[in-house]
Amino acid sequence: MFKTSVVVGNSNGLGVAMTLVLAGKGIDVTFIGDEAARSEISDKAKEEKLQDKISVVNGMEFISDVEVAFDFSPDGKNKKEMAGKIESCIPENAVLAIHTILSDVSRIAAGTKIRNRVIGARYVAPGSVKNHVEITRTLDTDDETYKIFRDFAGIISKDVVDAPDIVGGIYFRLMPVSANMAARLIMEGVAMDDIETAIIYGTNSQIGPLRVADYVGIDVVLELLEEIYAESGEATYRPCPLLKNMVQAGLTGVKAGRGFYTYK
Amino acid sequence: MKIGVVGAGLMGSGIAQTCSQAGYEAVNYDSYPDALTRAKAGVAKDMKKLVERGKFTEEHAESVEKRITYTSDIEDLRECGIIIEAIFEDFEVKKSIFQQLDAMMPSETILCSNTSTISITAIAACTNRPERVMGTHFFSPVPVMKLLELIRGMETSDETFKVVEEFGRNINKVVVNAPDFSGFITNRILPLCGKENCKMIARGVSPEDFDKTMSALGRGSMSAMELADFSGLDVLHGCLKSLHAGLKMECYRTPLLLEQMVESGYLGRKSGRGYFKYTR
Repeated sequence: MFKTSVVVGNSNGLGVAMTLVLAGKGIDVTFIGDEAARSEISDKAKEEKLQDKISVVNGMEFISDVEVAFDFSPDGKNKKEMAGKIESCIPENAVLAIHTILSDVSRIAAGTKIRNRVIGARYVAPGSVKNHVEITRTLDTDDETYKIFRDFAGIISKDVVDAPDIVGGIYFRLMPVSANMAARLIMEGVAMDDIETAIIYGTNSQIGPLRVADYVGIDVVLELLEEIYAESGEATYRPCPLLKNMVQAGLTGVKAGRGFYTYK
Repeated sequence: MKIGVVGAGLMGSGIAQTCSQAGYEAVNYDSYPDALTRAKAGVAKDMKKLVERGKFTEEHAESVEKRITYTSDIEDLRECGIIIEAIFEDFEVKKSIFQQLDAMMPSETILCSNTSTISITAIAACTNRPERVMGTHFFSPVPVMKLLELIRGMETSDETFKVVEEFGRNINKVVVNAPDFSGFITNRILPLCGKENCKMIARGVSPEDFDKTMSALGRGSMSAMELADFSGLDVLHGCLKSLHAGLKMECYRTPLLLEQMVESGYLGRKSGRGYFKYTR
């Protein structure tokens, strides 16, 4: 029987925590996050009448007996340090699963001391947690950790796939490609609506690359491109200058009310 | 107005069928009588399917077949107001046919090309009527895919564009304006994604895991790897080659795994193996 903790919750962390609690496998979940995340998950747990299955706390002294810990702390310059901090609060043999989009997993795991029990776990979006997870072995992940975590991840998500240890993993390595080239086409003088229409009707989709980028967030797309380009130097990922202009101007997409398109 | 279609291959035949379905009289020309026979049979087969599925009445299907004239005599194109060329993707071959048409057709006749890789401006410059030449890039299968990319050459007149745009709408296509550069719009983006998908497989991700990931947020009717195998990996390969040659952009360089698969004959469904294996 597992106990698990979700650390520094963000929306994916909430999704994982709730799915674990709802899985009904007798797993006790501790959720640590900021005030907004804590109140959101408390409400959700009350709604499902599962508030005694999940402890919502404020500090990391409550996780010293967990078996699997999830690190959903935000990407950024403190990410590696945070991984080390979480590690210092959990048992030596607990598995530490790190969620990162803007980095490969190994360079974050480098912030930890007991490397063999660290593994990558990437979820695409809160809504996809039940469907899918990318797990990534680092330089040091041992076979036992891989097996334990693979089984555990399968409790949360239907599909567990093995992803390479690169910036973005699988999904986020591919997501910015069409947005970047679409922005490049705008720079070359193609009308935005023509780009959207061409892809929608060329692929029989509901939505085109510019609107997808608006929903993900132009700032997120740009950050991803910058990190992937820094890692690989590949021309595909050289960030289109139009995206830089948009982010500098605050036109970051749906959340700002305006990106390529305007949203209420 | 009669619409002339040069080339009775898959694209040409589909274009003629689409025109006829919208009520136009179409003249499908090909110098090879065998191609014409195949094209006619292909349209008949499609009509039969559509009637069986209740999409067309028997009368409508019959009238569609009646409105297409198949000919190996190029003179039969004389009455057409718009001619759409859909033959082999080779500049010299297209130059030859455009010069032939330019010489024989009345000066107002609009000449279009379905080319996906050759510059419309370059094709137009082979004629004495560059203002009446433009690109009409259809997608396969033409009767099904609604997208039509319209490409103006440097000298295409506004009048020509208006006439062809109206024609595009009349045949129930969704029209977009694309610049006269390799890839136009759609093929600047889709083959790039196809190439990055291939590179992900080359890193060791299984095609099954790949498809599971890309449908994490909801599954389309066909997954990316299945789709690549369905259209043919040789098609992706050819697209990337012409994009890279035409634009000299590094992002369109063919990935090694794709070269290996194509060279080994693993082209997808049609050859029994692509990303996946298929039993015949």
